[in-house]
Order: sequence, then structure tokens, then C-alpha cells
Amino acid sequence: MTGQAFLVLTALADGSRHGYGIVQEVAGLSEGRVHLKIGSLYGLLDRLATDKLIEPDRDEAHDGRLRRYYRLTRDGRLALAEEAVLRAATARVAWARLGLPGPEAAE
Amino acid sequence: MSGDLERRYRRALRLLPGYYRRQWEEDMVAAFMDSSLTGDPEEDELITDYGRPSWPELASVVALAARLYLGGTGAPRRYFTCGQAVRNAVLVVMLAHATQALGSFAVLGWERGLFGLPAPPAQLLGEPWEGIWAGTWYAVGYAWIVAYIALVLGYRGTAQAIAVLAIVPDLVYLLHYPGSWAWLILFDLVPVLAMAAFHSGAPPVARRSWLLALPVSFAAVAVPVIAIQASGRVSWLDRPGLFCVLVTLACLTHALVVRGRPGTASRQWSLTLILLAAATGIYQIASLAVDPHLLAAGVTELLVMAAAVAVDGHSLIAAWKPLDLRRPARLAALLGIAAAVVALAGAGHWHSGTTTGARTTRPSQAAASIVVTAMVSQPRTPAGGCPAAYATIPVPGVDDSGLCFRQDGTPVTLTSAEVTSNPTDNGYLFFVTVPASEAAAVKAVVTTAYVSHGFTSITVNGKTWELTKVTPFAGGQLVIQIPDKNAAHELLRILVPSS
Repeated sequence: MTGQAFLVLTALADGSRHGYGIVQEVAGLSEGRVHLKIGSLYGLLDRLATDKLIEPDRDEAHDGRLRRYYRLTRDGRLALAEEAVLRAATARVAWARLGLPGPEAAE
Repeated sequence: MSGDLERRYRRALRLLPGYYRRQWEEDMVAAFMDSSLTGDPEEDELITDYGRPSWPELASVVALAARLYLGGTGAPRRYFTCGQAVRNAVLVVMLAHATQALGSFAVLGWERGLFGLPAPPAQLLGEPWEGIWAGTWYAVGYAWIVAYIALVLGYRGTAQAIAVLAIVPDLVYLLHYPGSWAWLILFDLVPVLAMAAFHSGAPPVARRSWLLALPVSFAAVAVPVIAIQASGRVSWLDRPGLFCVLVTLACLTHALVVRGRPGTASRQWSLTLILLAAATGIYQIASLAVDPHLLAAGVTELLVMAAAVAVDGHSLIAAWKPLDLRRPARLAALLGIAAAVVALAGAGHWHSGTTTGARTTRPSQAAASIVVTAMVSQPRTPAGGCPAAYATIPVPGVDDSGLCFRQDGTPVTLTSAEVTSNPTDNGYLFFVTVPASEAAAVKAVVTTAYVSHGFTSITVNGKTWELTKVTPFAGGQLVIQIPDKNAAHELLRILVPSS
């Protein structure tokens, strides 16, 4: 799973979001480092939808346009959880090798 | 009431395949408009009415389009076939580069006596190069091998970076000896860009087969080609000609193998071969010689390749929408355009005005004297003239250097010399075997030019054919390089009129 896909799935983990909502959430999650372009976002959403990790949730009218909201599927939750465990394990090793207390202690 | 911004963004989205737009376009437009607005009503109205999508946004749409047309796993069948065909074509071109690099590596080993064979013939070696630059030059060329292996193993970024490095020698060569850009564009730049087809959605490359392909193509293609070149009968088999022959053989083999049982993979390979044939065809047309014999050989190779592609890919070609053979008007128009292109290309070549054909690569006695002269140069005066005793020397096919020349020391006239010629991509190399009695004199002239940072001129029939800083002279052989193919053929006809 690429870093961007991980961020998009994380952005949808606590509830459904529409396209631009995902862009904003990803920017927030990455502390402003990742600002997805719309073309890149919909490339990712298309792939995640093809892999059945996300699905459309509902449409809401806003300013005369329909905003489509997306949510994680069951498979999406599983995939995100697996990836999160993997990334956390790597992070713990990194912290240990640097001789630092664990990430939890730094919170 | 949609403004300029939305209209422009929708126009950019037309780059995307129809199936994708039907599913995502409205949503993309909504998200894009959301992302463009600031929350300040006045400013937003201005942006909506007159704004344009930013370059990074447009670039992301172009990247998405490339990714969708070069479809990966899960893409609709057409786009997956297209993606696989492009990936295969890139792998084949990279394989060709790697094989060529291995071949020149083998010739280097031969030259250094690694195989216990007698020394290779001069036409195989090209120009003798000395020093660190030549070493770097060759080393960079070998980078194709690394780039190919990196691509097969799935390190696309690495492969792309190394391939860009490996293009440098071709680029430097072209800047020095202006020739056809077809090779650089079609077989260097386009494949490097097309490596974008190996995106994260693409299926992994069949590593074992493609890794095995390198030694196989070295043994089955590079070794025979080196042997043919060493035997010296190769004027029709320059690089574009060789590519035509290889694509022809590949098409016929593929047509035989899949006869009667067309499948997904075979459609992908038919499309791959069509892509390769198109690139090879353009390359061949761009490098066709004026010389009637070579032109005839080149056009024959081209036609045979076209026939072989038609045999293998006829069902794909017929199914291609823009072609739509069921519409006679469109077919007639396409045939008309094709005929016009061929006629124009032919007229252009014939108009260049050559008459008799002559070619050889076998050693033959030169029919005219070759005069080798050391020259010193001076820049032109500000008024554009030459200093006293200096004169400009026009060289066919070479741009005016802005220099004036004067003879330096005594010239050598070779009245009996044996000449071999060897076609390269950008003209010809002539190998002149200097009689032992003249060798010391030639060496003196070449050394004079080298030591005085001057030039050596090669004059035949009163016309200067080459004027160069360094003229290789080793083992009794003088190497003349004529970058311009037509000038090379003219010189060949003077030196070897009988062939």
C-alpha cells in the first residue's frame, strides 16, 4: 500500500467524507506535507473502489452540486488495520534503534 | 451558469477515457470546484468566472489519463491490452539497448584478446578512442544493461534514472554530428517516458522470462550480427535495417505460434509488434539513404515488415475504430494519405539528385588519390574574411565552422590504398589501409595536426571531405568519418566506382 493510499484510507476511518473533504483531511493528517491534486485523488479512489476497499456512501446537495461521500468497506477496514500494524511495528523498531522511548511515551 | 473555470476543467477531463468519465467526472468537478474556492464570495465569483485550473492540477489529470490508458490489473480489457502492449514494447526496446551494450562489451573483450581469437577487423571497432572520456562514454553506454535489469526487477524509478543517464552519449553524438533525431526520440526518449506504464497498478513483470531473454538475445541476435559485420557484407544491414528484419521475424514467428488460437496475451503481443513496427518504420524512413541501391534495400525491408505486421495483426488493425475498414470513404482517405506520404518521401530522396549506385564494404583498391594534409586554423576577421594566406574550406554535410585554414607542413598523397567502408547510424566510417611505405608520412601529418591543436583534412578529387581535430591512425589504418550519409555515398562512388 502506498503512503497516499494509507492516508486516504485513514481519512475515511472515522466516517464518510466527500472528495475535497478527503483532500483536506489528508493535508491535516500529514501536517500539510501531502496536498493531493484532484487528478491524483480520483486515481487513488478509483483503484481503492476497484479493490473494494471503499464504496460510495451517500450524495448530498451543496451549492447546486452533488457531493458524493465515500466510506470504508469491511475489507477496507481490515486492509487499513493490517497496514497500520505494519507501519507501527516499523516505527517502534526505528524508535528503539535510535535509543528513544516508544512513540506512545512521546505523546 | 458554469463559468470559465469549470468549463476549462471539464475540457481537461476529456483527456480521460469515456468509461472513467462516466463514473467520476461529476464528482471530480465538484471536488475541484470545492478546492478552488476561498470562502470570500467576491473573490470566488471572480475565480469561478475567469479562473483556470493550475498547472499542477492539469498535470495530475494528464498523469491520471496516462495511467488509465496504459491500464493495469482491473482496468477494462481494451485499456489493459494497451497497457500490456506498451509495457512489452518498452521491455523489448530496453532489451535491444541492453543486448547492444552487451555486444559492444563482447567486441571490447575480443579486442583485448579475451577469447583467444585473432584481432577483430577494423570496421567492427569504430573509431579508436583514448583516454578517460572514451572510458566514461562506453561505461555510460553499458548503463542500459543495468537499466533493463532494474526495470525487469520492478525498480521503475531506478531504471528511468539510469536510462536518462544512458541517453547522454546518443545526445552528445547527435549534437556533434548532426544526423537523424529519429533514434534518440523513438528509441531513447519515448521508451523512458513510456516507463510510466509500469505504475503501481500494473501487473508484475515476468522476471524469469525477461531476465533469460537477455542472454538469449545476445546469443541469437548480437553474436550473428557481430559475425556478419566482421565479414564486411553489411551495407543493407545498418541499425534501422536490422530492426526491420527483427520485427519482421518476430511478427511471422508470433503469427505462426498463435495461429488459430487467438487469446488475450496474443492480442497484447500483436499490439506490441504493431507499436514496435511503427517506431521502426519511422526510424527506417528517417534514415533512408539517397543511394538508389540502399534506398531500394531500405524500402524493401520496410514493405516486407509492413506485410509481416499485417499478417500478424490484421484483426487488431481492422478492429481499430479510427480506421474502421467498413467505411470505404475513410479507408480511401487513409490509403490516399499513406500514398501521399510515401510519394513525398520518395520525391524528396530522388530530388536530391544521385544517379549511379555504388556500395561496398569489402576491401577494394581506391580509384582516386587520397590527400592527407595537416591544417592550422584562425578565426575569421570581424569583417567576415580570412587572414592573409588563410581560406575557408567547405565540407559537404558539415555546417560552416567559422574558421579559416592554412596548410601546415607537407601533405601526403596516397595513390594506392585499400578502402573499406562501414555504415553507422550517422553516416559512414572509411577505413583506409595505408601502404607501409607511406605510413610514417601519414603518422607525421596526423601528429603535426594533433600537436599544433590543428586539423587534418582529407581531400579526394580536389574536394575536402573531412576536416577534423583528431584523425585516428593506428595499425596502418586511417579512419575517415563522414557524418553525412549522402556525402559518404558520393565519396564511396569516387573511391570505389566499380562496385
